[in-house]
Amino acid sequence: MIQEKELSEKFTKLLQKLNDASDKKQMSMLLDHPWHSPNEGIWLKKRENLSIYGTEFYDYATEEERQRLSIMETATWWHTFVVFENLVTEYYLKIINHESLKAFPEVVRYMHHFCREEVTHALVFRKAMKHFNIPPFPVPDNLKDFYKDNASIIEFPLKAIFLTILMEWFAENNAMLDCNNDFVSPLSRAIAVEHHKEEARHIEWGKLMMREFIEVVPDFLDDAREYTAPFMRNLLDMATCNPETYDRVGFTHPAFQDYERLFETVLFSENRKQINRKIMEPLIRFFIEIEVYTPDYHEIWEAARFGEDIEFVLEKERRKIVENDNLLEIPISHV
Amino acid sequence: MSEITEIEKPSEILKTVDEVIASMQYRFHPENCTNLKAIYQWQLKNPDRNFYISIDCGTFQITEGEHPSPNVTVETDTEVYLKLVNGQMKDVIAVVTGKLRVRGSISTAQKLNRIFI
Ligand SMILES: [Fe+2]
Ligand SMILES: [Fe+2]
Repeated sequence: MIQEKELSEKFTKLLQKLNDASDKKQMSMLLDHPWHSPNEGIWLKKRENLSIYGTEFYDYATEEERQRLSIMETATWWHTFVVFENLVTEYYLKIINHESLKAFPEVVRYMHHFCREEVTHALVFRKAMKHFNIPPFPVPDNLKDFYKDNASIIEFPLKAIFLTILMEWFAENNAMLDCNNDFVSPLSRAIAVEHHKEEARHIEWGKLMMREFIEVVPDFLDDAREYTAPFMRNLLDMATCNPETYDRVGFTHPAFQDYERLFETVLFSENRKQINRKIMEPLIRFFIEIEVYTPDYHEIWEAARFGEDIEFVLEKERRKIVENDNLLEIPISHV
Repeated sequence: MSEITEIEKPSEILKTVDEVIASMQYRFHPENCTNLKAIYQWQLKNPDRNFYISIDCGTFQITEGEHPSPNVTVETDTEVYLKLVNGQMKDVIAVVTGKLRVRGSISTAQKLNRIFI
């Protein structure tokens, strides 16, 4: 019985640390960002991380269009965060009310912190969109469906927690790669960095939950081995480009009319492949560690176009290159 | 979603949904669904056509209409569906441009690409 499981000492200690950190300091919508920094001509994400960078479409765009694209692509992210943070809060509060975690009060205490933090995040991202006068984006149905239809609450909500950290971890890696640098506006950078401080705890908590409970939740692993690769591929592709973002920039070059070619070029560009690899590398190491990836399932990863990334990570392991993926231990300047 | 459609470029172009359905028996791989029981629903638009495939441990059956509780639902335009089946459009492009919507269990959905090859 899961409910009778005795929590390991390591888990209990780390959980205590996470609860203490949230008790001590949580993000403020009013105080933690430079809301008065100037807006004129700024970039919200790094030039090299624009979806069109490194493709012919980058050359077709004017400098002003590229700058606007940096605003729109970041704003779509902010808006996606708003939607998902609301969804996750709904799910987690439902889990708390459902009492399936009643036997583990410290876990529930952390989930309360988690929800409180997500509510603030959503408010901050909304405030940022207003600050830049950007109306909400329609969030692609597919993106919502993948989460909604799969994170259903079963007796023990490990799947919902797993899908949530997958999204949080991938989104954080992406946001930090895009925004944590001098090139972007101080406000955009602060939004990413302040968010990251709390998300790092959410992600480490999720990993902790996986390590502690994965063995005792029946069928969890079998199922995760099937859906994780296609789920991650969908997240990556759908987060890279969406029609509304390009529409709002209003590119003048006629090549931008051909969406199929534009999307194909962007999604399969070498630059995107490299960014995606940086995003995925620590996740893949985690999948290997908890055996969500095993060679028996390699075909599924290959079909989801992760074959080379898996090889890259395995090769590092063979060469005994050890990476520290604990987000609480990596200085923000290095993320 | 990118990995679930049953595309592998067919040797000749399938021009209608009926032709696609007729081709399924030749593309079916029972060895890849020996333990699977699942309903895959297709909802095509312009012209409208609904059908579902019931997989039952190594066998399959196609039924016209709508199933009350499918495990996976695929919604798209007939034109896009034919392009996908014929390998003229990548499923990932159909997904990111919003032309293909996949609902339901992602692990069940992704099994489909090994069932009809
Ligand atoms: Fe958040
Ligand atoms: Fe979070």
